[in-house]
Amino acid sequence: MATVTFDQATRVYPGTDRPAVDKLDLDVGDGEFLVLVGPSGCGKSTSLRMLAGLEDVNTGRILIGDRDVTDVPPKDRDIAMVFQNYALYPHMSVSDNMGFALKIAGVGKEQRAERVREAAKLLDLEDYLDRKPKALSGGQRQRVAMGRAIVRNPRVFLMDEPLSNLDAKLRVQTRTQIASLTRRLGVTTVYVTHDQVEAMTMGDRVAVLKDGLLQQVDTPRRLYDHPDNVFVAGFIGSPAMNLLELPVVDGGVQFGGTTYDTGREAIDAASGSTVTVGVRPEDLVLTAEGDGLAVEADLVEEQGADAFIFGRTIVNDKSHDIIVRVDGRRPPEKNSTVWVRPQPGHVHVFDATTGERVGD
Amino acid sequence: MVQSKKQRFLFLAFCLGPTLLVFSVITLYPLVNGLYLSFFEWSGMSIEKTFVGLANYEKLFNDPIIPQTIWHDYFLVVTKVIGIMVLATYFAVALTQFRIKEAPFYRIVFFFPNIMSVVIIGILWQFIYNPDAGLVNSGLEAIGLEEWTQPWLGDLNWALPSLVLPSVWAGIGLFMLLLMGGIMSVPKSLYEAADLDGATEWQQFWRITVPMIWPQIRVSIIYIVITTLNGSFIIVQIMTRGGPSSSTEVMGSYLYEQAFEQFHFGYGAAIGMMILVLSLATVAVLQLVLRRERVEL
Repeated sequence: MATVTFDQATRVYPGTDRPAVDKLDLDVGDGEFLVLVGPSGCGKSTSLRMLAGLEDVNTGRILIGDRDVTDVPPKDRDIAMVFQNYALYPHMSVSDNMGFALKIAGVGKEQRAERVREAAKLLDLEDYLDRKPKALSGGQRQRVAMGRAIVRNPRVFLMDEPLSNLDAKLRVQTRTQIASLTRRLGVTTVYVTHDQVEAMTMGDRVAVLKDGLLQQVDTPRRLYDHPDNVFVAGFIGSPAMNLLELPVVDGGVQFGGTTYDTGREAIDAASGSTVTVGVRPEDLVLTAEGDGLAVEADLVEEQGADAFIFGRTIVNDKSHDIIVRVDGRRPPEKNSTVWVRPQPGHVHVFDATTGERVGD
Repeated sequence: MVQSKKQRFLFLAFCLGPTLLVFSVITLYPLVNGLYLSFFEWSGMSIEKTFVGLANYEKLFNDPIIPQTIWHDYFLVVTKVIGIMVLATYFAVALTQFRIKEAPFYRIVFFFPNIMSVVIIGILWQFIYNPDAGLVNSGLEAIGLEEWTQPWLGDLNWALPSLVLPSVWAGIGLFMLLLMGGIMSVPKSLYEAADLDGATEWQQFWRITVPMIWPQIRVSIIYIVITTLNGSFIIVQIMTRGGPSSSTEVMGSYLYEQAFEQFHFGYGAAIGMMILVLSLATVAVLQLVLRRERVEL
């Protein structure tokens, strides 16, 4: 077991000016399950590959435990990786795939078979040990890839979007299996995904990246309830948080017909005459006509327990898209106008220019 | 699309007809005719053909030159397979895996002999082997190895081995390209996984690259074997004409000599049949030996 530390780690691909990963500072605790999440091109996979040793670190350092591994080749880092396409050796049987690293390391045949069997039992693969990867289903291949990592008993697991090749149902199942398995084994895990639901459900902590820059690293709950900037606010949560640019007035922000009290500090910290206000769809409540913002309901999506209003609202002569969650049993009519107001204590205020959080 | 049976038949006939015709004229007919002629004594020009039964084959089994020509052909087969495969694989790996900036340039350089006629290659290497002015001997002299100089193509022991180098040189490019295609289709993540698993470059080559490009390796070997057994004639004819004193005589050149220079057409046809049978047998054995389970991604 080990901790993982990124210390100002930077990767600039040859022929590009902008770093793919820019001065990444990140500490992963011993036995922690940390998820790297972000849109494509944000540098999450590059960060993972730097940790694996498959990608050079241009400046900065990477440590596993207390050991600086920045210039250590992949095989000497004591890590195991699960690839997006699993990267199983097609010409080897499942047991040979799982035992390959041990064979290379010179582990005896008996001991190798024993460890492969143990991992196979853990992953319910005992019946498939003699098969070739092509004779396995997608889910089984995924488990073999996991098995190959587990057999090595590494200090750190690295997983690069291991579920993205599975169908939706299997993805949800496997998600919980992986999370519980790594917790049971107690191995430090760094997991890359672009799927924020995966990130929120699996991670002890989640690191959000964008354009090679770390935006925020926190527990899933805190990311949801306390996003540090507009990007994190919009990225985490589905449907996404509503972000409205509202004018600052005496005592708070002008929320349509009413003034919402954001507290003095938030207004003082903001730089302009407007602020970006974030409210999650479930934190908006329907009110009487004239109270709060008027929302034109373009579409009402009924999902049973809940209904979502996808609509538009006009603020300062500008039209904003807005999503409101309402009781599924009493949804408003399509094309009707409803009035909404945020629930107190569930409003996020960001600087309109920098996008940084200034208060709630 | 729904097609009537007649339409389907016409379409298939349209596709297969010309192929069948050409195949019959240039493969089937010569094959049958060759077999037919091998039972006759015929000068190749006169109207008269004398039926001699199996006499030509009897002659074949008792001809002291024949075992030599077979041995010479298989010597070329083995040395060419080893030489071409080792070098083509080495260059293919180097040009795909080692991130050489000038890789496209080398690819062209190595492939260049393949667009040259074997006749030109033969003549070129005759110059290189020239005992007085050739590159090989002057090179050896230049580095002070005068005692190593040979008349090469004129030496009883050195003539046959001297044919290997031009054959290998001419063959590398094509098989290098074939193997490069195979190597480039191996997913990069397999090598990354092997890196993490601790495999050295050498282990990666033997345990990943070779099994993954096995189909290409197999095809290359079989192709080299077939083209050598059937085509070694050209380079021999250009460079040594079977000499000195039959030391480079191969089955093909002996056939040519018997049929077209000494006008024993029937005997030539019998030699042709022998080449066919040996080629088929060799390929059948190779197919068996080189068989491996197909790797699918």
